[in-house]
Amino acid sequence: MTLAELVDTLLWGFPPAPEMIDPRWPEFIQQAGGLHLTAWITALALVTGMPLGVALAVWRGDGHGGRWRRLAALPATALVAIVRATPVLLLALLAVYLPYQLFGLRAPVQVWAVAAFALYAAVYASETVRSGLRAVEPRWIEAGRTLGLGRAAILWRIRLPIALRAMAPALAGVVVTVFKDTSVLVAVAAGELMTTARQAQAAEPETYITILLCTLAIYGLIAAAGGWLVGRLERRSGTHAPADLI
Amino acid sequence: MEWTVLTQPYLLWMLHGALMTALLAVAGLVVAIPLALLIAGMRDDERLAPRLLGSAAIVVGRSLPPVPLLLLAAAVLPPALHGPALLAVLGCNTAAYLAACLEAGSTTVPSRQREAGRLLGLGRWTLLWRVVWPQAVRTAWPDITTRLVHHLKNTSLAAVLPLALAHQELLGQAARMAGETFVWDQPLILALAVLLLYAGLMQLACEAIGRRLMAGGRP
Repeated sequence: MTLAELVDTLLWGFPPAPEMIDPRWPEFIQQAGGLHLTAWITALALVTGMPLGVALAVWRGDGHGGRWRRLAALPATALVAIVRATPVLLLALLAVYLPYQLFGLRAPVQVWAVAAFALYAAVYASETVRSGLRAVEPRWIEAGRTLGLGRAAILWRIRLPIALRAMAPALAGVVVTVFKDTSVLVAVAAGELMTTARQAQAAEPETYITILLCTLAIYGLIAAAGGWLVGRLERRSGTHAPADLI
Repeated sequence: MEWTVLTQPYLLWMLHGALMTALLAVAGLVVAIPLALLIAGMRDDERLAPRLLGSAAIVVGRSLPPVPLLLLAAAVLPPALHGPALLAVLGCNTAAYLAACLEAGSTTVPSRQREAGRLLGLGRWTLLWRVVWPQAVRTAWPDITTRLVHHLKNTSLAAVLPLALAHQELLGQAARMAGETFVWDQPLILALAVLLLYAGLMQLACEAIGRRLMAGGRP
């Protein structure tokens, strides 16, 4: 395999056998491979995870409020605490193996991968959005009340837009983190970039170092570019992305 | 449902894995902390070359995901060196983030303190060790805590390495049990419970240290 063929393989993956495609689920994600599939998993996880993260942040609230308010937020708090303490590799294994073993649910591994990373992104995004909601100055909320806006309207039209704008660097950091952490999907052979590298390595063991170095270069360049972008967003907004991101 | 994971020899495997996870986390920190201090010191240097080297270490350490690095190490090195390679990869990854936390915390130390230290004849590393870093750690402790918990979670990545059975951590032992029994849910749930316990204990310990740091920082 020449270097160009190797890079092409890493970018697009190996085509799956037709009999492996489950017609009940979208074909595009089952037929994708390599960096192409990594990009799909990252994008779908973020598209589903970010709104879920905002919902979790709103559900958890800012920690103030009465005893019943805090009690109502307990399931969301527990979910965030558990997922944040769970290694992403374990999260991927739980997502792939538990649904079938416990409930008999079958789906392509790529679908479970998207579900796992959607939850992962949602939890990190929820913490970020929550920090942003807490940072909204009280005068903006007072101004909303003065104009006769209810709590939901203040949240939707004042607090969330300000919070999301302020937390843009941290949310960009979530994107980079999700992209990098998809490499753990090699443990469940999802077909993304790292799995494709292992498959190429098995097909041509004499070039395994070149294959892994190319894979590292792809991950490193994209993650470094993402980190640079996050740094620029931080400098423009004057905020600081949390240490566990990027 | 019969909990096979709580029977022998599987329970022993999981307990061994739990012990190896704890040892791996501690050993990784033994590598990471001095390396982080070295990188942070290089970033603080006035000369261009050490500063660039420190920046490169942080960018590379944070940009490269550990999994491909571990697989590269497994492909290149003999099996006897897989353990040290694992410690090196985890340590370097954590060190890059800790150095960034330390650097961020150092920016909050007033420059007049550095000037006072220089006037007293303190060398650059003594100034960092005795004046700048104690305050930087106090400021950056929440971020450092988050990074330490992340380091603990990263020990599970050892499961991708073909380590000897005696060296496999919790997730590796869970996969070993699943390979024998074809049951995944029980070992994974037990592994999750142990890791949540470890993360909780680490969080409590870090909060206690944080309170002492804050108390020590009061004039």
